[in-house]
Amino acid sequence: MSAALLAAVALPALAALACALAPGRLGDGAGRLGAAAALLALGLTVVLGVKVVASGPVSAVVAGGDGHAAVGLFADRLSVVLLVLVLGVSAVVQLFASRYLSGDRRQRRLVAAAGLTTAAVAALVTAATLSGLVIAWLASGVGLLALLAQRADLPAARLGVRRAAAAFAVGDGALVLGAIVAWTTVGDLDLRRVTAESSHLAAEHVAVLGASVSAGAVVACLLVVAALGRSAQLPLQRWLPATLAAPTPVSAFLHAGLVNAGGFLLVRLGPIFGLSGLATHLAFVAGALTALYGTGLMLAKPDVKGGLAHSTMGQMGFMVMACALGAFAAAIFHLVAHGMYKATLFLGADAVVHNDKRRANVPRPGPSGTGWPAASRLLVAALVPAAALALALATFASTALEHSGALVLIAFAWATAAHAAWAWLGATPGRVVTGLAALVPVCMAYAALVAGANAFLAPALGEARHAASPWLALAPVAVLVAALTVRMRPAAGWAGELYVRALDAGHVAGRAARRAARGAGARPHAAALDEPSSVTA
Amino acid sequence: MTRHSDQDRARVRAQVGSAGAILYSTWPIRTFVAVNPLGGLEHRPFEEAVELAGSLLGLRGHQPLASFRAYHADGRVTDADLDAALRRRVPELDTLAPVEFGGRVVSAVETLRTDLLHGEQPPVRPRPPRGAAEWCDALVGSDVARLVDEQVAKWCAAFCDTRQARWSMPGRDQGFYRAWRALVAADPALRRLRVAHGRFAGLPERAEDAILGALETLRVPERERRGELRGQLARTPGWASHIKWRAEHPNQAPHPADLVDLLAIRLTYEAALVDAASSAALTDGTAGLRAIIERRLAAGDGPDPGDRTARAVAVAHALGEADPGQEALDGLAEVLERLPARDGGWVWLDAYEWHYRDGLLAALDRPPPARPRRPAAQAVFCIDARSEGLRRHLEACGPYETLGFAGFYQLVIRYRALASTHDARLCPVPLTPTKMITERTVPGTEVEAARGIAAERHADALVTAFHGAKDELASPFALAEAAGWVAGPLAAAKTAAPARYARLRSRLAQRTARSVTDPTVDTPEPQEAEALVAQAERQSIRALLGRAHLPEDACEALRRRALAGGEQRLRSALDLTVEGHAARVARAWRLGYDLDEQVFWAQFALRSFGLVENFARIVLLAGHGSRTENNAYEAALDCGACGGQHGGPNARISCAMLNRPAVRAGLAQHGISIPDDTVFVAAEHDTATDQVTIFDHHAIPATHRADVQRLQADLDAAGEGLAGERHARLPGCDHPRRRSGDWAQVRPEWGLARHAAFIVGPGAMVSGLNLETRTFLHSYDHRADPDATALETILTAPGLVIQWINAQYYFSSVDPVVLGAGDKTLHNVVGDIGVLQGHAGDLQLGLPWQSVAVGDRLYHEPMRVLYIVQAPRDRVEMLIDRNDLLKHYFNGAWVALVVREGPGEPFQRRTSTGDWVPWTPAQTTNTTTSLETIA
Repeated sequence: MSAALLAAVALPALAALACALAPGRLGDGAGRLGAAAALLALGLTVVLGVKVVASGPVSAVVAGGDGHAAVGLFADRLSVVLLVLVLGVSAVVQLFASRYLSGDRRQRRLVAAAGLTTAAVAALVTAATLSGLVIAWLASGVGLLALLAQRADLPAARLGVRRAAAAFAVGDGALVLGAIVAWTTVGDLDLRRVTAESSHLAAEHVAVLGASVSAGAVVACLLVVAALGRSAQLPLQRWLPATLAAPTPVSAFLHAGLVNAGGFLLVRLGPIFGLSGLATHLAFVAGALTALYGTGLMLAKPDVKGGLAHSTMGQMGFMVMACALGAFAAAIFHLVAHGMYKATLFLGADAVVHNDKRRANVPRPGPSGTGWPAASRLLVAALVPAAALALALATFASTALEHSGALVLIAFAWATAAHAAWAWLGATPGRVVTGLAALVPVCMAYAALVAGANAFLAPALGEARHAASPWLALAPVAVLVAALTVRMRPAAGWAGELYVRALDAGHVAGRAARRAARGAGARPHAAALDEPSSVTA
Repeated sequence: MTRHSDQDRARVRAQVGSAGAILYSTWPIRTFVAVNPLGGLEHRPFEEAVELAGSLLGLRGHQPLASFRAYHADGRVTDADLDAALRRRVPELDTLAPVEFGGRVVSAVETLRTDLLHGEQPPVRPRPPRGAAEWCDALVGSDVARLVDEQVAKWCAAFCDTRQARWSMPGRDQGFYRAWRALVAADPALRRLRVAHGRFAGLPERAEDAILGALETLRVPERERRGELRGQLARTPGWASHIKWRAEHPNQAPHPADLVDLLAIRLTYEAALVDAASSAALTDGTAGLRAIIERRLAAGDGPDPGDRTARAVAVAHALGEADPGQEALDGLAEVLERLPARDGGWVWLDAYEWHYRDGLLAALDRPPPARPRRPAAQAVFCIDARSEGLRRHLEACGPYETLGFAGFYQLVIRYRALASTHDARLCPVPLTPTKMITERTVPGTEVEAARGIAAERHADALVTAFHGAKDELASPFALAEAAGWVAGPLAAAKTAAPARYARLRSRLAQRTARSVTDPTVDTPEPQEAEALVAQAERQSIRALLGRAHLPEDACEALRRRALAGGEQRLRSALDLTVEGHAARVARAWRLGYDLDEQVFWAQFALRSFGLVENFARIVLLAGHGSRTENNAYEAALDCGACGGQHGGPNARISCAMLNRPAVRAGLAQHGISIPDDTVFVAAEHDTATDQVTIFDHHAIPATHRADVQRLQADLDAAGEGLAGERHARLPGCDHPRRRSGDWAQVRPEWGLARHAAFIVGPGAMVSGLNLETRTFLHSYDHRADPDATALETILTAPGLVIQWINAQYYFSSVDPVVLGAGDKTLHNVVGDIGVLQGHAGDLQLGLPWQSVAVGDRLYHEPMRVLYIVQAPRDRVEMLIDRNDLLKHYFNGAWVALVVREGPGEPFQRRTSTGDWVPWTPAQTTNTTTSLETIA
C-alpha cells in the first residue's frame, strides 16, 4: 500500500515532467495526459482509502532509531479525503484546460505547472514529518506562483504574482520560523503522533524578547500567520482578488485546492495550534473578520470573478473560524465542499450571460410568491428549517454536537436555509407546502452529511486544548443581525459611505507610483523638460 | 470657481459630441452586435480613418509586414497580385522610366515590388501623448493617467452593472455624474491618491461645469479642447463606447449616463492629480506644464526622417547589385517616392484581398447551372455566411432551390414569448421596432401550456432561492457546504462526458418545453382581441392559484366572477377589473400587422429575394441562432440581423403571414400568385450543430406532412455534411455537435471568421460552387425589382450589418489588443454588459482572440468585404449617388464593389474615384484558389 501512496503523490509530478520535457507536439494532449495522471492517482487513493478505513493509517516512511519518522509520507483519513479533493479537482481542471486552451501553446506550460502543484499539495497532505510538510508547503506556493504567471506579459497578471509572493513570503516565512523553533527544541516532528509531539513542544521553553515562552505557543502563533497568508485572511488578504488575470482553470484550481491549505495546516497540526489560547483567538478574530469582510465585498462586486474571489475569501474566513473553535471536522467538511462548489462556479463563470437572458424570459403570467405578509413569511422561513435541524440533531445526527464549536456552524446552516426559504416564498408560483416539506429532508441530509463527516474524520483529528469559546461566535452573529436590519432601510446617508468603502476595498488597483505623489521623485525626469528653470529649486 | 453660462455648457456638450466620434457605440454583451469600431469615422476614407484612430488608440490597421511576407512565401500573395495592387495604387506606374544598372533593366513595378518584399520596415512613429495626464506623465515622470484609468474603470463598472452586485451603487437614477458626485468625497481611494478630500467635496452640480472647471485648472485653451477630450476618451475606449451606447439608447439602459458624465468624472480626477504632480515638479504648476505642452505641440513632429537613398540602396541590394552607381540610385529613389514607405502595408493588404477576390470572381464567371423546373422545396436562409454551407449541402441532397434573405425577414418587431414580460427587439440594431408580436396558445392546449409555464416558474423559483442564500452575508457558508456535494460531481460529469450530459439535459428540458403556440401576427379584430386577452387572463389565474391543470371552463368561470366583482384576490392581484381588462384589450389592438401592411410586406420581401414565381409545394423560411454552453459571447454567434438573438420567431411570423389566404389574395393583385398547394414552413438553423428544427408542425396541413418529413431528412443529411466539413476546420478533435453542449469549449464554432464577400444575385449564380462558408449570399433578381428599391434596402440594411461584421472581425484580427477583446480564457464578465481582462480595467471591445485565431496563428483572413452585385450598373450607380452611406463605403474603400448585369457579362470594378473598370484577374493561375465545382 505504501507504494500506492508514493505513486499517488508522484504521478502528477511525472506527468508535469513529461509536459515540461516533451517536444511541442504534445499539443492538446497535454491536458489529457495531466488529467489521466491525476485520475490514476485518484484511483490509487480510493484503494488506499479503503485500506485506511479498514485498518488504520498507511505509512511510507524511513524511520529513525525510535520509530520516529525521519522522512516519508503517510495517509490517514484526513489525508485521503484531501487527496481525493485535490486530485479530483486537478483532473477536472486539466481535462477542462485541454479543450479550453485547445490549439494554444500555453496549455503545456499550464499543465506542467498544475501537475507540479498537484504533486506538491498531495505531498503536503500526506507529509509524515514537519520538515516534509514545510517543503511541500513551500513547493505548492511556488507552483501556485508559476500558475499565476501564465500570462506574465500582462501587467495585471504580474500584479497578482507580486502580491501573492509578498503574502506568501510573510506566511511561509512564519511557517519556516515555526519549524525552526520546533527543530531546535524537540527536533523534527512526526506528524503521525502529533498529539504526543505537541506535549513535548509544550514542555519546552524559548526566549522571546527576553521572556521565556512555551515553544508550543510560539509555534502555534506562527502556524496561524502561515495559515492566514495562504488562505487570504485579513490582513494578508490582498493577493487573492488580484489573481484573476490567469486562465479560468487556474482560478478554479487555486480556489478549490490551494487557498484552503491554511485550514489543512491548522487541522493537521491542531493539537499544536490548540496549545495557545492566543493563537486560537488570533485565528478566530482574523477568520470572523474576513468572513464578514470578504462576503460584504462580494456583495458589492460588479464582476463575476471578482465576486467569486471575494466570496472565497469570506468562506476561508469561515473555515479558519471553525478551526479556531476547535471544530476541525466541520472545517474540513467546509473546505472540501467549498472547493468543489467554487471550482464549478469558476469554470462556469461565462454562463452568467446566458443565465441572465434565460431568467429574463421566464414566463410571468401573474405575480410570483405566496403573497403572505412579511411577518408570517419570515416566521415560516425561520421556523421550518430550525425545526428540521433540531429534529435531526436530536435524533440521528447527534454526533455533530459532540463538539460545542459545531453548534455555531449549525446556526449558519439554519441561516442559509432560512434565507433560501424566504427567497423561495417570494418567488414560488405555488406548491408552498410541498416546497417547505422538501426543505426538511434537505436540512436532514445536510445534518447527516455533517455528522457523517464528523464520524469519518474523528480518528484522524486531534484536540485543540485552548480552542476559542463558542460564545465568542455571538459577536459575528450580532454583527450579521445588525447588518440584516440595516439592509431593511438602506436609504441612510452613511449607507452610501459604507458602499463606497466596500467598492474601493474590493477594487484591485495597482500601487500608486510614489513618484507621482511625491514631488521630489520627479526630479530625475526634469531632464525631459525644456527649461530647467521652471523646476522648483 | 467661476460660474459658467448655458452657452459655455452647450459648447462643451458639442465638443464632447464631436470628440466622441472616434468611438462607436458598443452594445451590451447580452445582445452582442458586431459594429465597426471606427464607425464614427466612416465618412473619412478607410486609410485616413485608421490613421486618425491610430494616432489616438495606437492602431496599426493591417497585419504586420512580416505576416504579409510570410503569405508571399506561401503563395497566398503572388508577385502578380503585388504588381496589380501597385498598379491600382500608382496608376502612372507603367509610364515611369525603368532604371538600368549592372547590365539589367528594372521596371518601376519591379522596383516597388522589391521594396515591398525586401525593404526595411518603416519605423513606427511613437504615439504623441493624449490628454493632460499623459503629457504630465511624459514630462514630469508621474503616473497619473493609469491611476485615473483605474478610478474611472471602478466607477464605470459599479454604475453600469445591474446584474451582479446585490449591493449596488446608490443614487443611480440621478445619472452617472451626480451619483458619483454624491459618493466620491467618501472614497478612501482619494487618500491613497494623495488628493485632498476637500477637492471632491464641493463639486459643481452639473457635469458640464465640472468639465469646464477641470479644463480651466488644466489650462487647456479653447482651440485644443476637442483634442483634449478625444485623448481623454481614448484612454478607456471600452467604457467610453459602452457609455456612448447608453446615451444613445436611453430606453434600453437602466440608468442615464453619457460621455459628458464620463468626461466630467475623468477630468475631475485628472485635474486634481495633474495639478498635484505638476505643482510638485514645476514652479508654476499646471500653467508651467501647459506652457511646455504648447511649445512641444508647436514644434510638431518634424519631417519624416526617412532616407530616400537608403531605401534605394536596399532595393538595389535585394536585386543583387551592391553598388549600382549614383545615377541608378537616383532613378530608383524617384520611383520609390511614388509609394511612401508607410503606405506599403496598404498595398500588401490590397494584393492579399484581390488574390482571394480574383479566385472568387473567376469561379462565379460561368454560365448558371440548370435548376429544377418545380423544385421539391424552396428553402430560404439568412444571408449569413454559415448558411452558404447548408444551402450547398442541401442542394446536393435533392431537387431543392435555396435562397438567401436577411434573417430578420424585413420584420422590424418587438417579440414577447408566451406569458413573458421581456421584449426582444428582433431587428437590426439601428432600426427601432414599431410592431409588437406575441404568442398565443393554440386552442385546446391551454392546460399543457399552463403546466409548461408552471414548470419553468418553479425552476426559476429554485434559482431565486439559491441566489437568495448566496447573495447574503450570513448564508453563503453553509450553502457552499451543501451545494458543493452536488456541484462537484456535476462539474466532473460535464467535463468528462459533455455530450452525454448535454443530451441528458436537453431531454429534461424537453419535458418542460413550452407548449404549442401561434404568433399573434394579425392586428386583432375586437372579438379576437377580447379572446386573446381572455386567454392570457385565464393563464394568469392558473398561475396565481398555482393550479396549472385547472380546465378552461372552470378558469373562465372564475374570470367572469372576478370581472363581475367577485373573487377579490384575483381582482386585486391580477387587476381583473373592468378597467384593467379594457386597458389590456386596448393594448391588444395595437399588436401585429393589419392586412394591408402584411400584403405590402409580403410582396416587398418576396421581390427582395426574387421569389415571385414557380413556387414549390414547400417554401422553408429559416432563421438561425447558435446554442452554446458557458459562452459569454454566445450572442456574437447569433443572428446579427435580429440584434444578436435567435431568428426563429421572425421566420415563424413570416410563414404565418404568407400562409394567410387573404394575404395571398392581396399578393395576387400585385402580380405574385402563390399556388394553393404551396405551404410556408418556418425553421431555425442552429449554427453550432448545423441541425435545422422545423417549427409549428400543427400549422402544416396533413397533405404536406410527407413532404416536410422528406425535407427534414434531407436537412439532417445536409447538416451532417456541413458539420463534418466544419469539423476539419476547427482545432482539436471534437466534433462540432459535441462542442455545442460542452462547457469547456472556448471555440464552439468559428462563427463568421474567414468571411470575405457579399454576393447579391440569383441563387443560380452560386449554385453548385463550394464557397467554403466565406460569403454572405442575398438572393436578388433585378428583373423583379425595376425601381431598385429592394436593392437599395439590400445594400443599405443587410449591407450595413455585413460591413459592421466585417469591420469587427477585421479590427479584432489586426489590432486584437485595442479593438479586440483579448484572451477569452481571462475573461471576467461584468454586469451583463461586457467583459474585463482579469480583475479590473477597461471594458473589452470587439471579439476575443480565440474567435479569430488559434494559438498565435490567425484563422480569420482580415480583408475588407467585397460586394458582388448582379444588377444593371446604372441602377447601382444611382443608388450610390443618393445614399451617403454607400458613397462612404465605396469611395472610402471600406468596401470593394464589383457589378455585372448578368451571367456572361464582364464584372466591372468600381474604383474609389467612382470610375468603373473591367475586372481582370492578376494572373490566370489564381483561379485555382481552392474553389471547386461540385459535380
